[in-house]
Amino acid sequence: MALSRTRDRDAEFRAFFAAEADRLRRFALFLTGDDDIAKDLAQEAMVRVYRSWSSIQNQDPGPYARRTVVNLVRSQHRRSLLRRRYEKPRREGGDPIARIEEWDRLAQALKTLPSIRRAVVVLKYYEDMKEADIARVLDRPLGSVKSDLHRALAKLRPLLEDSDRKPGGVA
Amino acid sequence: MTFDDDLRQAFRRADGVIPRRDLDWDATISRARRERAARLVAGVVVGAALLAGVAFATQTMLSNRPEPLPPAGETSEAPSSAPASPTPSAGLLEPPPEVDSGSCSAAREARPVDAQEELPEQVQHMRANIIFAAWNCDYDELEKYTGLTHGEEFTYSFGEDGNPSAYWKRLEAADPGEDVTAALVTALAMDFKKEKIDLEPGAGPETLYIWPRASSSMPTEADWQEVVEAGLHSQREVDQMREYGHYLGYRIGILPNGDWIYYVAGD
Repeated sequence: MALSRTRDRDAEFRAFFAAEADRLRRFALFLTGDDDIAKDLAQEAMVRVYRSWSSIQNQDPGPYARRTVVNLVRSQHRRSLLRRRYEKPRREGGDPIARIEEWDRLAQALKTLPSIRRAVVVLKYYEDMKEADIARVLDRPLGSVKSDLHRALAKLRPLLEDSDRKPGGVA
Repeated sequence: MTFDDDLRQAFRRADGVIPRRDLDWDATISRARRERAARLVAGVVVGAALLAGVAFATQTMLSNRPEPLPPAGETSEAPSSAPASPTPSAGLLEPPPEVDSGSCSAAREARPVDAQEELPEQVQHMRANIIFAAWNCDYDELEKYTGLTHGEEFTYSFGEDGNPSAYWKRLEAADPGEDVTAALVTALAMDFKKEKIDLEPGAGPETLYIWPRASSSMPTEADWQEVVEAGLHSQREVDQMREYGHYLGYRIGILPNGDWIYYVAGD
């Protein structure tokens, strides 16, 4: 009986993994700007999803996985910050995606945002989530999400607006 | 077209140039199964130990454990029968009268600690709660204060993921082990420093209360000496850190709202 439950869990998780793994990695990539870190974080999130499968399988595990990635990104940022404070500087490695202009412009603009605001923007404009859903995923009051979004857009607008567009054409 | 539309399109274009890079299913599932099994085994071991009679000892220990301090602004309603309250008396935090000195290094070395009443109230409370949990060798309580179980962020190691209580227990039990709970109390008993630090890019510097002062960005000679005098690290270890250029020993950070965000050593 236990073996059959394990098989069921593995089969369900495998289907979730097949459908979501690459999307989760891309989500993490927009949050971190680094493909290797994004891959590691997405895998760690998947491990945690599996660990909690019995408690989240009846909901949509997607939001749980995304919340986990956001929390990991924030932990990872603080961890690297602590490391940086105590480490001698080292050279950054080359990232092939970083050389692609379409990606680089957006990634550089996202990096100027605090991680929680970056997450709000990526969930809204990449994941197409409604603000109420974002609030649920991030376990954050709706008012804070609205304010995060407002501030984030104010910061992103001058960085991403097409230089030859008329200001009147921008919301 | 609005900026909202522009931004959606920018994400679509960027998404289009990201190459597909599949996560490794085999590596993920084998790690996931291993970690799940480890957790289940840990649960079974704890259950068996309780059945074997450790419950009595645990109960005894718990009955001597003071109630955690309430959040700042709330009044303490610790039962009067509690043998030791974490409420500071005469500016001191007193260890509970009966600690199981065999359980962890902090219990073996429990002695009164200054309440550091000059700290903001929430920082004071968190610090006191951490110290009492360490004196009681209550790893679960310590983990609770990290906030990790509620999805908060906490750094306890640069190489580990999972739960800090298991990690700290393992370090204490290893041979030769590390007195991580004693170091936690020793470091918190030392003078603190208030620093401004960029915790989030773009969010501006935030205040952080850090222990010991040697872990600050500009430690003084006295800050380094305090580490040796408190017994947190040996003179030799401190000399090595100074040669390296930074303090790399046990260090703790608490935000003004009382969030404990790291207890870590090394690099």
